[in-house]
Order: sequence, then structure tokens, then C-alpha cells
Amino acid sequence: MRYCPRCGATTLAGDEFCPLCGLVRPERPPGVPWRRVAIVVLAAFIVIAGLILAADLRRSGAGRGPGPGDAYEILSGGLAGLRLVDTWEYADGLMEQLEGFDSRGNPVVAYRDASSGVVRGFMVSLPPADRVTLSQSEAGQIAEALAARAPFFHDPTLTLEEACLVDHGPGTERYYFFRWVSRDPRSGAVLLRDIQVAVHPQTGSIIFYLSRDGGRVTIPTEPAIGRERAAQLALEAAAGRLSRPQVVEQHLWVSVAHGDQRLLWLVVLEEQGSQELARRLYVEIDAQNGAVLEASP
Amino acid sequence: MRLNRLAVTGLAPLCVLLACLPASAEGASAGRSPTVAVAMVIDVSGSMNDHWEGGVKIESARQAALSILSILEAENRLPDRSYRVALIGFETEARLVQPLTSDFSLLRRNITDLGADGWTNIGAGLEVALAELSDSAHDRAFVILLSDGMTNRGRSPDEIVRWLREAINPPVPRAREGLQASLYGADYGDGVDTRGNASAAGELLEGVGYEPAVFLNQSKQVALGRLGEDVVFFFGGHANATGLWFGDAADPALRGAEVRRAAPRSLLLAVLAGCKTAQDVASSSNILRSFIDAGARVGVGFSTTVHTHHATRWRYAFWETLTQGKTVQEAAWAGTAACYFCCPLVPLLARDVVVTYPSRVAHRMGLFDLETLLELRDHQARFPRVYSVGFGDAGDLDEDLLSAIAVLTGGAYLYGSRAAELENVFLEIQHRGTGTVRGEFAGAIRAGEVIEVGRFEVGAGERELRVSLNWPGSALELRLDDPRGRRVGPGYPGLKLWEPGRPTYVVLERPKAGEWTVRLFGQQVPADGTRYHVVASTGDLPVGASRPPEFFLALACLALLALLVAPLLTGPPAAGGR
Repeated sequence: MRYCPRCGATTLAGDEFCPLCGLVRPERPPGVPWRRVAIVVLAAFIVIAGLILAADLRRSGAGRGPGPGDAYEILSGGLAGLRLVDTWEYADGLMEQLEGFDSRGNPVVAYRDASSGVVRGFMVSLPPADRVTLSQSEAGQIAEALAARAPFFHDPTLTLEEACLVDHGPGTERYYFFRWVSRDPRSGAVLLRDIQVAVHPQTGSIIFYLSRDGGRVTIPTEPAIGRERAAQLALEAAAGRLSRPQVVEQHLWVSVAHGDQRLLWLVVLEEQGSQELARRLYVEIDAQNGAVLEASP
Repeated sequence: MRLNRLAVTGLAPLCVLLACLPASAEGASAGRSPTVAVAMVIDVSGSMNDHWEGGVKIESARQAALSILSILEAENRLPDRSYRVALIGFETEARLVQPLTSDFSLLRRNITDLGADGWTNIGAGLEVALAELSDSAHDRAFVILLSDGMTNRGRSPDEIVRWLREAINPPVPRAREGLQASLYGADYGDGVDTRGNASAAGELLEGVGYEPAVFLNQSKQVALGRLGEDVVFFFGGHANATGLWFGDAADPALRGAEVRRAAPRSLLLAVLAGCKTAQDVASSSNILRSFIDAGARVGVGFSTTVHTHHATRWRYAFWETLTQGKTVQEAAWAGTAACYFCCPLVPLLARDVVVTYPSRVAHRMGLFDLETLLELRDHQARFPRVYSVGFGDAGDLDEDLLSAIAVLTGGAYLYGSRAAELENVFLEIQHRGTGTVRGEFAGAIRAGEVIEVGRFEVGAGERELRVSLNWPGSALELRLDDPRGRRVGPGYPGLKLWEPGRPTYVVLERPKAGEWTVRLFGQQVPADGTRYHVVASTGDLPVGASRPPEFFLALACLALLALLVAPLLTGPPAAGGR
């Protein structure tokens, strides 16, 4: 029921003019513009839903595993949820292998030095990344924050030597890989400390952490046998075993076996020639006395 | 116009309404509270009649058990929790005194009636407890073992440890019969000898039901003849990016084209443990890629040259891990870790070991189908953790055994000498048993003091935060501040439980990520103060509904569709007036 604004007569909704005074059907009083309101509400909803979705996806994402928090806990010895499954000898002593699941149910394997209780490494089984959303810089910060938990991280000889996105192509796992290596500043000899960290490129979760701490180097790290002399010795050792060997790599290392440290050259030789399969020989030479310790493929 | 309103205005509130509807529970049946089953295993052997701490061990055990029970009873009152407790007593034999029940009064009576006599048979006690827990349906279970650890009947300590280890890691089920596995190794005469690797892999595969055939120093024709029926193919030896070198001097290299012609449609796993077999694996000329393209579901290779020591070590560790029920990726990395720790000179880096697969599903697979893998993992995840509590003096207490039992099962060993400490011990057990402890603080507080006892981190996406405060008596007030400094109390968003009193409980749903601060006010304490114990944990049991992001995406699409369709449903505006 409606009323004429001029004479107040009652009019019906379909009337085009007032039956009493003839006033043309008055215009509808301006009401709430429902259409515009609905459009605004819908637009706001779409924006809000999109923001929630983006935040949720960024937070969850594929492959959630030990982020820095969980990884810190594991490295700090927070292995309460893991079970001891094996104990085996390794280069620096006895290693305990523990297995279980992280707080999100991802399988975890951790490696702990049996005598010191220091966690030397852990690995987490995560779904592969759908895409790479983290920059290498961001992943590097995550990796460094974790690596800094190693007791020896602030050793001045330890430097970041490798930082890359490992991507072997479709159908393979992708992850950021970081490696810190300890080197003697003068001779460049590789020392006894090393850290590797892999970071999930989508979520920033830690995929694996491996560290080795053979302790402080107590032997001289300047070789008495020079690089060229070591290469010569290696070539002599390869006689009869490789066809036309050539040095392809040469490293100075400090190795430790049964507590004894030794500076040695590792010379990698490779066959040259037309054969398709080029065999290699790894020759270890004592860097102080030139003794060939081992020559193995 | 009417249609326009319906299309545009009607859908908008409908979308909002849908967003507000409670979603189905995630990980638990809709409407069912997560159940925690606890088996309380109490040593009631004759040695428990020994004197200890001014009393008798069995009396301490009873008091400890009653303390635990009061904590569990309080926990049972928490929302979305359901606790059932079983009582097992063991001496020469073990007895299920009370099956799982939520009748805490009955449990208290049973505990009070426990007497001590006989020898000590911890193995039997654990066996009965695990049997009782395995018969019941629950989301989480754990065992509380109260004992001095001095077992002298039934299984010896070593046997207990061995039995537990086998129970937690059951033998991998045998695969279906008729699964052909071909393993190739050779002595190349130049120091590379992979025959041991192939033989060891064969033995491991046979142990899990495969029919392995190990071929040493054979020609590639043998391999090509079998590829069509192989489920597992393993090659260890000289190789490069385009071929595998067999022992046949005339034509040793097995090429990708030959692999494709052999059509290995049944091949589940191809392991090419030779140098550079995964170098440029995306290329169609790569030998590993050839196996994948020809039908293999998972392939493993190295992207670089590998020292023979590393390769040998890697192969052993790989097959050992794989035949324990792990995925190929896990086995590959386990092999890498073994190399890294055992052969640190020029180590094999993880980035040089490549696992490749044609589809996303395949990457999670090991030797067995996905269902079997998940069953194995589920078994390990569900195996009850044992929290052992030892009491007794040195010489009267086998902490090594109690600790080993705890560590093996993922629990913890705790030494508790006083009832009050034991209450805290069991509060901690409850936190650890149903979540991850984020902070634990203990100290002393005096009357009228307000102290900050500590801070803890909550990660993003945590479902629940639980904080408990316990102290011997009098009155303490817990003051909990979120990362933004807001005090938690009645009316705090997400607050599910606020129970002051002793012990004090706070339970929050979806806590904010960041650093939380705990303070205490010594409201009414003895003149010389009182000790307190605070534990904060984030729970990992499903606590109710959560919506996947796809839900919001669907609603957003619906709303957008309405926005786009609405104008099409409207006609031109009605002509107004004359």
C-alpha cells in the first residue's frame, strides 16, 4: 500500500498516477542501492578470501617439515620423539641413528655422536616442492641460522663455499643447497669441519642438515711436498693402471683416522683418449713425506 | 530487477553463511574427541618393600600412581580430550588389574589395594600393557612404568631391549610372490669390484619376498633378456651418462635405446649406481632417463663421478635402508649420510645423488606399494611411548634399563624422589605424550612477588597451546602474555579452558605465533616461598574443525561467478513514470 505525496490518497503499487488528484506516480523514494551494496560486499569477500587463502598457502604449503624451530630443537638434542634404531662406527667415533617423526608427522632420521651426544645431522622426508617461492637469499638466511647452531660455526676458517638451487630437471627433487667448508687460510687445505644444509625451496623447511667436526687441527698445514711434485707422484702411481692419465683435480686435505691427523694430497687422475669410458684414479699422497698412501678408482 | 537482487544479493550472504558453517573435523571423526590411552604399569614385586626416602618404595609407587591419576583425571576434564587408563601390576607375573577405563574412582581403589610380593618381571608388565593398548582404539597411547628396574624374572634387560626394538620395527612384510629382481655386479680388474654389493642387495631383497637373481661378470645380453620382467634392476659398476658397462669385453655398454627396446613395463625401481648415470638426467640420451621413459617408476643414479669407496658404502646403506621399508629418496639420502660420516675425504654430496620419477606419486614409493609403506609408518607412529620413572637408591635402581626402554620407544626416563616432584614429572609426561614441549620452567617464588619465569616460542600454524602450572600448595596466579603482550584470560580469543587452581590449566586454540611470556604472582604462599613448575606445549592431536584453503577458494570463485553472472540475469531497468 502506498500514499500520494500530494493529497495523501491511498494508491496501489501498480498505479501510474494518483486516482484522486491525478499526480503522476511518484518516483520511488531513494532507498538503499542494494545492487551496489551487494557488489561491494562480494568484492570485499573476494579480496578477504584471497588474502586468507594466500596467507594460508604461504603458511602451509607443500612439504611442511621442521622449520627453523623444529630443526633447532632437533639440533639441541630435542629428540624425545625419536627412537634409537642403530649404532655404527663412523670416521670420528660411534654414531647413533634415531628415527621417528617430527611434529607434523614427517619421517625424520637423526644422527647423534654416541660419546658427545652432539647431533651431527638429520634428514626429513618431505613432499617435493611444487614451485620455487623462496629466493636463494631467503633460503640462505634460513640455512645459516641453522648452521650457526653448530658449536664450531664461528671458526674463522669456516666459510660458505657452495650455495645453489639443486635442480636436475623435471621429475627430480629441487632444493637449495648450502655448504660450509673449513680451510686453512694459507695453504687452502680442507680441514676437519664441514656443514651441509638443504632448504625446501617452497616452504623454507629444512630437508637435511649434516655436519662434521673432526676437531681442531693440530698438525702443520703447509705441505712439504708441493703441488706439482704431488701430481708427479700420482702420475707415477697410475702407470699401468690408466691409459694416458691426466690430473683433473687436486686437493690438499687434513684427514683423521683413529685419532691421527695427516695432511695429504688427493690427486684425481682421468684417462685421456678416444675411449668412451674414461676411468679415474684417486691417489692419496702424504703431503709431508710424499708416500703414496692409496691409489683407488 | 527481482532476479538481479536474487543473483547478486542472495549469493553474497549465502557465501558468508557457508563460510561460517562448522567444517568437519580434520583427522578425526566428526564429533569425536581424541582419545588418549594410558597404561600404568606398577612394580609390585618384593623389592618394592625396601625402604627408601624415609618410607617404603611401594608406598611411594602408590602415591606416585595416585598423583598421576589425579593429573590424568584433571586432563580428562579438558575439552576435546578423553582419557582412559589401565592398571597393570607386575611381580613374578603380570596382571591386568584394571582394563582401560575412565572410572578414576575405581582406578584409585585398585591402586590403593596394590601390595608388593614376588620377583620382578618388567618384561611381562610391559607385554601386558602393550597388549591392552593394542586392543583398544585411540589416537595416542603411552605407558607409564613405575619401577626400580631390577628385573630378575622373565626377560633379561638385554632381552627386553631386543624385544622392544623388534616390536617397534616389525619385519618388512614380504612382497607378493613372483617379483623378479636382477642385480648386476662385476670385478673389472682395475680395483672396481661391485660383486659384493650385488650379492648383498640380493640377500636383502630375498628377505622381503622378492626373487632376486644376482649376475656377476655377465654380459649385457643377460640384462636385456630379463628387463622385460624385472621389477627391480640394480647395476653397480663402471658407467657414464649414456651407458652401463658390463663384463662383456666385446660390447660392454648397455645403452638407452636398448633399454627402451626391452620395454621394462614392470620395472618399479632402477638403481644405476655408477658414475654420472644421472648426469643431465633431463636429457633423453641419459641412461637413467631412458629407464624412466621406458617404464620404470623410480630411478636412482649419481650426477657426478664417485670414488669407489663412497659408491660401495652408498650401495650397502641404500639397500639396507630400502629393505627396512623406507622410500627410495630416504634410502638414497641414508646412503649419502653413510658416505659423509664414514668416508669424509672428498665426500659424496647429497646433491650428487639423484632420484628421479615420472610422476609425483612415484617419488614416495619404495620397494613396496604405497599402502604397505604407510602401514609401516603408521605402526611406528602409533607405538606407545614409554615414560619410565625410577625410584630407589644407587645400587637399588637400574636406570640403564629404564632409560633404554624410554629411549627406544621415544619416551623419556625421569627420576622422581618426592610425590610433588612426581606430579610435575607426570604433568611433563602428559605434555610430552600428547604434544611438543615448547618451554619448561621451575623455580621458587615468594609471597607477593611477580616474576617472569620464562618465555617460549610457538610456531606458525600450531593447533593448540597448553600451559600448566603446578606447585605444592597455597595459591599462585598464572599470567600468560601472547606475542603482542595481550594477557590471556576469560574472553581471550581462542581460549578453550581457563582453570585456575592447582594445577592451573590454560588451553588455547590456534595460538599466535611468536614469543609468549609466562609470569607468576605469589598470591598466597608460605613465608619462605614455594616452588613452581610450568610446562608449555603445543598439542598435535586434532582438536576440531579446520577448513582447507580450497574451501575459501571455492567460495571466492562462487562469489566472483555471481558477480559476473548477475548482470546477465537482469533486464533493462523498468521505465519509470510518464
